[in-house]
Amino acid sequence: MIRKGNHFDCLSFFMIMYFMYRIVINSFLSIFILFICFVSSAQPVRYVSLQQQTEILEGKRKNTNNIEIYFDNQRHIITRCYHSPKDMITVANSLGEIKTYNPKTREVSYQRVEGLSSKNNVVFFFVNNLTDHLGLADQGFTLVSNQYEGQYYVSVWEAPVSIKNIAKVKMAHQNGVPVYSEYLDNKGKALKKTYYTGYYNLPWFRFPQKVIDIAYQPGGDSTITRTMYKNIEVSDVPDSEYFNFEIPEDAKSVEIN
Amino acid sequence: MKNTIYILFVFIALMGIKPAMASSYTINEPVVDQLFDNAVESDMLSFSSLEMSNAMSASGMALNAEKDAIVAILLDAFLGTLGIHRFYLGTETLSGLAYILTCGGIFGVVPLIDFIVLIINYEDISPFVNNPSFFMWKGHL
Repeated sequence: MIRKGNHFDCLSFFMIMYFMYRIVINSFLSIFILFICFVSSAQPVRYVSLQQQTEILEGKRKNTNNIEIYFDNQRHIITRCYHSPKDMITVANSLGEIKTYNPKTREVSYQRVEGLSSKNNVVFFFVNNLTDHLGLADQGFTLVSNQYEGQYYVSVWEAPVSIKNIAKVKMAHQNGVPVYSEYLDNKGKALKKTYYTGYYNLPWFRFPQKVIDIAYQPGGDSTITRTMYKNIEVSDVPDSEYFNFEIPEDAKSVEIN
Repeated sequence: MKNTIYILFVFIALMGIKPAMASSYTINEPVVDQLFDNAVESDMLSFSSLEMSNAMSASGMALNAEKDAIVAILLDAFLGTLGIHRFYLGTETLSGLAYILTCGGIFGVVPLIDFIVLIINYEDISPFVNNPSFFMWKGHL
């Protein structure tokens, strides 16, 4: 005679096996992520150069800019050579001190913007494998929750009091690299979403080929920025004059409007 | 039997929810590529705007939101009944138009309160930047 409880016992057994499977898989994934971070961080990179193409789309109009980036990872100085809308060279250090030089007019301007520090950009974070929070912790953000959602490791960061218009940042990692981040305001509305895709796997670090930003404007419009990276080169010696570029001494200092 | 069906339902629901949440972390790249392919190239950006787009983090977003309190106060003083100061600070289109639709912000009352609030909070007007509410000072008085 079959007992009534047999169906319930089979289902319970199946559910227990399923949750044990999830625990085992998540544990292996955590160990794998830690291993990748450890191995990657053991080999610092000195000089990195790459090409960046940034396209900004507003409505049906877009603006394309091609930039060459030269990053000295020891002195933390990043040089950007812009070719459109006009030729410009900017040199930024870790304090956010920026020198902007126009090679045609031989004019230079100086400013300090902490948000544009050489340690606050995609290149710095990925070259140094600081991808777990992409600088949020350094700006005072606090980790409030983290969990696995299928193949994604999702973390939520709360903004410090000093940052008024952002309440939380949600990040998702897959296979040890960030794939998504979302900035939320006080009402839980998304201010900006960023997607990181198509990772290059280099011996020293992993770098996204494409970064897509969607910034939501108050009127319901949005601005989409698509940034593509290519020709990433790593060396132990500065193989270009633009590494730690020096502004010519005869450059004329001008004020920024 | 009822218990079995209930547990089975919960189990299937759990299996369904997780993948649906995870799909929100990816983007349909071909759609984005199509938007860019269909767009017209223009020189709409200034160089400083491009520099800002390079700023990575939350502080970069906070920089973009900074507005001048004096400009907001002057716009409110002279054009407050048209809601121009709200468009400058950033708001929903309807919230800004509501100033005109309500005969100058309820006959000038709302712009007057906006003016007083902006003066009092001169040093930090960030709660009123990108505030979608018609009464931008709601919850901040």
